[in-house]
Amino acid sequence: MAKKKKDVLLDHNYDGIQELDNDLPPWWLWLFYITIAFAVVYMFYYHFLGIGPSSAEEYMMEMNPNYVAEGSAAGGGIFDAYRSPYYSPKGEITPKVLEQMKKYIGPEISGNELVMEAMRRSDEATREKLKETFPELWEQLTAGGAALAKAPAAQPKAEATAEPVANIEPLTDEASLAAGKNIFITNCASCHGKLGEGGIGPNLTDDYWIHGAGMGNVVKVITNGVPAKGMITWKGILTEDQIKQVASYILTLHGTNPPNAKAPQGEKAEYPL
Amino acid sequence: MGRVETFYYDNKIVRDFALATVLWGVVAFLVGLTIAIQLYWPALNLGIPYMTFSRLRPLHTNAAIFAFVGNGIFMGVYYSLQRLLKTRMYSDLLSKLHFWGWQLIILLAAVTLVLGITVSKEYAELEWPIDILIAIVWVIFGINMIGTIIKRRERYMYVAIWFYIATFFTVAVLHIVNSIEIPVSLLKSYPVYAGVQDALVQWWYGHNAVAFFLTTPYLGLMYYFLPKAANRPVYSYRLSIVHFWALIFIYIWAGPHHLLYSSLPDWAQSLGTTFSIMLIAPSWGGMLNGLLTLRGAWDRVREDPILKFMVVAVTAYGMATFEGPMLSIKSINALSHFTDWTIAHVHIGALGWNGLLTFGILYWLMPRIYNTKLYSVKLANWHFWLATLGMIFYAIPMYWTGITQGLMWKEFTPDGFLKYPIFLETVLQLIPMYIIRSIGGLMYFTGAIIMVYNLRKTITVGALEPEEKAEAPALEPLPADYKEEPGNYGHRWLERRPVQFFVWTTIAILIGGMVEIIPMYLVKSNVPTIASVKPYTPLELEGRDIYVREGCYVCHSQQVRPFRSETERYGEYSKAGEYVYDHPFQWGSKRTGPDLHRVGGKYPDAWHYNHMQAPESMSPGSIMPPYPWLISDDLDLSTTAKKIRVMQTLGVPYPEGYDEIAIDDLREQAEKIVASLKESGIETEWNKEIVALIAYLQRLGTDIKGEKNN
Repeated sequence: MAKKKKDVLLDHNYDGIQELDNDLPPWWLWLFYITIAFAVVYMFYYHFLGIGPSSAEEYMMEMNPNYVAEGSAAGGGIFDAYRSPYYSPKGEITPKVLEQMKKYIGPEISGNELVMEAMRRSDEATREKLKETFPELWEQLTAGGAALAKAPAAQPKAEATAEPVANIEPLTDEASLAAGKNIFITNCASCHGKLGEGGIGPNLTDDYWIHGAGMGNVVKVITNGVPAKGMITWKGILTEDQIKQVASYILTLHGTNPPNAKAPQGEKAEYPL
Repeated sequence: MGRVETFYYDNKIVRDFALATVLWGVVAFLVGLTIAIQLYWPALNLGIPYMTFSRLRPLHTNAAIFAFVGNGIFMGVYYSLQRLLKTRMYSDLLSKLHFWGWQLIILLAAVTLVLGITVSKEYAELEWPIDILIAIVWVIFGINMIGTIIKRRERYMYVAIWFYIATFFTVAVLHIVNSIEIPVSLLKSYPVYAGVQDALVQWWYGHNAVAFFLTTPYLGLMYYFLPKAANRPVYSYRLSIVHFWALIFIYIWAGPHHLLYSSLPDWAQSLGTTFSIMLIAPSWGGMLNGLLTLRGAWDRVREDPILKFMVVAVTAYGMATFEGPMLSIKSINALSHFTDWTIAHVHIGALGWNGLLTFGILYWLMPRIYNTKLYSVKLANWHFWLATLGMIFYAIPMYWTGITQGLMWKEFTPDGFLKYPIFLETVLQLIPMYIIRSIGGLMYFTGAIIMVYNLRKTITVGALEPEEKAEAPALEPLPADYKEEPGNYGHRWLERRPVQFFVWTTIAILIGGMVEIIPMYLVKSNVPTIASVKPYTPLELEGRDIYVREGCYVCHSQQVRPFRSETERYGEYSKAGEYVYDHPFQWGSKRTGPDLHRVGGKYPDAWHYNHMQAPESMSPGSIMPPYPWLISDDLDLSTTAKKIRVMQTLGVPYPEGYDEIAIDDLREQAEKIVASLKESGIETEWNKEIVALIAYLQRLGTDIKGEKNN
């Protein structure tokens, strides 16, 4: 094609507006072609050929690096394939799972021992699942000690759960308690009452504690929260020092018998602790 | 050549629309500024329902789109169409009906939206009687425009008119299809679509409101006013043809990019992504034809504020239409969606493209119809700089907050926990940026006020020429052996045949919507049913209507995306089958607050009660405004039975005759919530609005909790 002259005026005139007969800019045209090619490749890759993962498969891969897509997205069904979020990218047990196990077994053991203990207490089906889900860890735990997995379930240690989390001493200086009171009024009073008498949340002045009495337990509940019951995680909003201050203040409320106190909840603790 | 005829252009209707554009523009900016400030100072709602963010935000978007830009479109169309076709508008009566009808719609919208009368579908919030009125007024506009085209004295239709035609037909189709709803009462209706289907139809509409209300008519205006103001020929006729047809055909497909990683089936999402990418070149065709038309006039751009407005407007259009396709790529959307990034993006389009082009046209056109010169070029320059800098001060903080918050939502600690598990933390991080953004808004608003003064002075100095005399030869039939100008795909042939042009335009804009929407209804696998998902109880339904009325969806999504960061924060990701009874859907598009799809059962009833009364009492630092009227107001039960019947019509499986016992059921459930509140020391009555809202919130997302996981 002969190259057209640039800027040739067409015989168009609309209220004085004229038009030039310029060609489409080549880079513009190529941009258009490339985006169309992109679209075609995209549709083939994700749909017609089904090579690329669907949104649901992407999610499963994010949750479990060992996940292998089965058939097309329309096939398996999302519920069947959904796995819980307790996988680390390396296929190891994540700290989050360990935390769960600690709740189940008790806080006094950790690491691989915790997993072994969990295996010991589990039934055959669960052990199979663990083996399948964490093959490397299974190898490691059973190597040279295959008996571990086969050993009969040990009796749960009853005293384990009753042990306090850690020995943190409550603060007693006036400044800290005043600061603690301040934090309490701003953040806690909405649910636990201005005097700790309870409301949406439990009464903090009586002998009864849902998650254990004492400084260590109170600090732990404030830090991690009890999301299921609406108690949020304060870690991140309050600093560690602030949590200690407010926990110490809460302990001073014990036995104050405020008016309109909420009925006791949880287990009675033996005072003095 | 035919006999020369004398006729008169109707300038009065242009003036009317121009003044309405200015007036509603100022209102839209002011409401926008107000809600921007409310984001860091919620008390600015003065404690009254009508001033609450969640009711004003729809007012702001509707005012900006339909009142400001809408009147701007009509101003420009009525001015340019007459001159491009060398004829007066088809009917003065229709022009008047169009003008007053449109202003009436705007007034009704302003009143109903602040009263909480809303369908909650974004940019289509207005209730059914107003929807009907919009359809009527829009058709009046269409008849007036088509009539004008038919009685033209110009043989060929200029590119601006192609865009006007596409605008008229497409907006009519979009508005009617998206607004099909069944009335419960004069002021309440339910859309016929539910859940995923409603979401698809809504964003097919919502995206194309951007395409065919904010883009195509404004491209038409650009094609008239920019060459006029620059006094230069349009760069490429051929580019006009190609980018016009490509744009209108492709645009209509792109809606699902608003629903990436949602419960919408993947194939529809992919169409949204791919067609958005293919939109870059057609969109840029418009920008190129605008900017390249200015070749040889750049020296004048430095001096003429009108050209400055137009250049920045067209550049903003180019930026927004590149950014849009980028945001439609799933991996980018995963970060940007639900954040302020989207807000920044739309404001580049709205403040830049629509706003600045409108200002440029106003400065060009007002002195002309008033037979005078612009009162002050200097003040117009001030306006230009305030508007441009205002835009920058607006957009940069919003990009910043969008990216910051998007990253904070996704960040994990090395131990595998969310780094910012408390949503509020990610909000409080943004406050300084919100303050800067509102300063940008204030600058933009100030510029507009300067324009009002400048135009006011211009009008006072000049005098309106209501009937502008013009002459043109009558259009004679073509000789039988007439040979069309060769080349350019034979397009010249089409340009003198309005009817064929209408038909081809309509075909081009129907295909995309049909391919996406029809299978969503006919193919069952698109929305897999979940057996445990049951219809809402009457109390929950009433609570849901309160949720809709208060505009909770403005700040809270109900769509947990399939990301580890979201399932950790909120719970299991959302499934299409969970929404089958949601008329309308409530997925939302922005998370100023956290997602609520899995909020059911997360907090005790009393938490919600206190939180609605005073959000700060439950989440210190929260920027959510209080909703005390929910605590004190009685639930309106007069339409409960009717609502159940309408839902039955829509296929929601309530047992036959259920409407008669619905209120008994409602009361029974309400009493349980009252009892649970009492346990926490809160006294209320069963028929308060708050009880219904709590019932709905506690129901949200709980249906599938009973579903087996393996």
